Amino acid sequence: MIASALLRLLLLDIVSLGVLFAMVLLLARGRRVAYAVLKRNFYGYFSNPTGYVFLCLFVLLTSMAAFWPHEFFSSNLGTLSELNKWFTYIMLFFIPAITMSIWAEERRQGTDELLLTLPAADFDIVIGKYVAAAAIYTVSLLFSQFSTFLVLAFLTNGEVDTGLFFSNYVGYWLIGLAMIAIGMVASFLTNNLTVGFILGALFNAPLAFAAASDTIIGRGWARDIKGFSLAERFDDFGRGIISLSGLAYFLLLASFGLYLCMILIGKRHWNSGKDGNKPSPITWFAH
Amino acid sequence: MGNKVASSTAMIEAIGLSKFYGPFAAAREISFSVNQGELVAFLGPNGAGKSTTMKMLTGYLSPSEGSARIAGHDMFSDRIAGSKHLGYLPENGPLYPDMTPFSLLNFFADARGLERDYKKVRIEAVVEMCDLKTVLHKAISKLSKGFRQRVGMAQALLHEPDVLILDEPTAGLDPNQIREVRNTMRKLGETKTILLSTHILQEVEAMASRVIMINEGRKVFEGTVDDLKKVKGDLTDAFHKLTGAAA
Repeated sequence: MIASALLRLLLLDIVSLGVLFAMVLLLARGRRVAYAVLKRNFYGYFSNPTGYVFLCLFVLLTSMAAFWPHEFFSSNLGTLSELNKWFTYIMLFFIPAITMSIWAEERRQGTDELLLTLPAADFDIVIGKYVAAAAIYTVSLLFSQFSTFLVLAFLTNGEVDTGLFFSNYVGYWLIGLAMIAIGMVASFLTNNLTVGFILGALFNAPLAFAAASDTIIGRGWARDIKGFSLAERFDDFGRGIISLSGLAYFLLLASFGLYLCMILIGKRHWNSGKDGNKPSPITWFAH
Repeated sequence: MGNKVASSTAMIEAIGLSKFYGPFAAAREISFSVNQGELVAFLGPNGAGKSTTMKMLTGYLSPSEGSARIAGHDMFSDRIAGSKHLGYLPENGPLYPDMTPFSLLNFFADARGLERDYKKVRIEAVVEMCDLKTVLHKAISKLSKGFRQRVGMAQALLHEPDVLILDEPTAGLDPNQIREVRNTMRKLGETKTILLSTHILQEVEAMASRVIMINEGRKVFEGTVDDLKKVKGDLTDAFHKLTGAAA
């Protein structure tokens, strides 16, 4: 029973990972520099012990959030409803850990000059690093997924709702995609890794805490503000529905973060000329 | 130096380059060109604007005014085409400390789109040229300054660029290492166009066909090494005079 449940999950994972791999291969074919940057950043993260420490912490925190609260046993349901409540707050720690060094380290080492003088658009560099961070996050999520699934499978003797479980993790993945893009913005603003971490958490915090806005704001406003929070938009995924509105929300957030990154990476070109004119971010994209 | 006739194709062109940071002018109307096959030395005191000018030439920074061209490509509007011809070694020779020379060269080869077989050939060639065989798989953070400089140079040479822009390639090297750089420069200068900035005036004498000197953002001299000596006695005095340093 447990084995068949595990098999079902593996199948879902393999199919979705296959799709993701295909997209990365398309990137490799089309934008060489982005792919080279992706490979370097991805392997670089895992060649450093710190990376593994954060990965283990992430698995630990998600497992704790999923199974420790007494509501998990008192509600007697083999679901991740407890983890859903805490997930965005756990991510406030984990995502900045991935994103803090994305650009800050390049600036600190001076290697940004090497990257930005390559025959490649700034966009290739940004997208390469973003996909690397997303890939790192996906690997971490896979570990967390297997850990929590095995516990649930054993507790329910294989009767766990694999579809609901998988949908939850799709939601978690999308939350990560959005938060990584926003955390990356922080990395473009500083050379210091610690500041990058703090700013990354700070920029993502409103999205995470908007879900709790009814504790400080009146009900009318709070309902609208809550609608913008990560937890609220994740709700469908928590019910087993992979909704288009949820997908759109997270992907648009990610695009917004990437857009901000593009503006910031182009900051070195800005100047106040003798007559004070600056190229605007919009005209900059025309190049 | 040498009796090679430099072609008159301008491979590096600075046309009225200026860079303002608010009211501060890091570079002001700097114009010069480096023709194919020339090795030009870029001199100036610290903070004169050499690095800023080089950053504008490589397309890393956009000029506030003026334009920069590499192999005829404008580095503002056509940077990608221009950077294919360019090998750049930035100031302080930045590298990735967690990588090995081999993995770093591999990365840059991939980033520059070198095909697999050609990549292998080129990596072997630059490893040979920069004498990196003994440290090829050692972490860069553990390498001495001399080796790190050579890795930086290898990275710049990987894709066989026509143009090299080197920002203080001999900074912090000992006399033996400087001599090795000089030999490498000589060899490269036979086929490539090189612009390098340095403080070491005897190297200027030994290597450069022309000298460009800037001070406080402006060009103060352009000519041959002999012309520079005519300014005042020897190179050090000429440097001192042109940069208006207090006696």
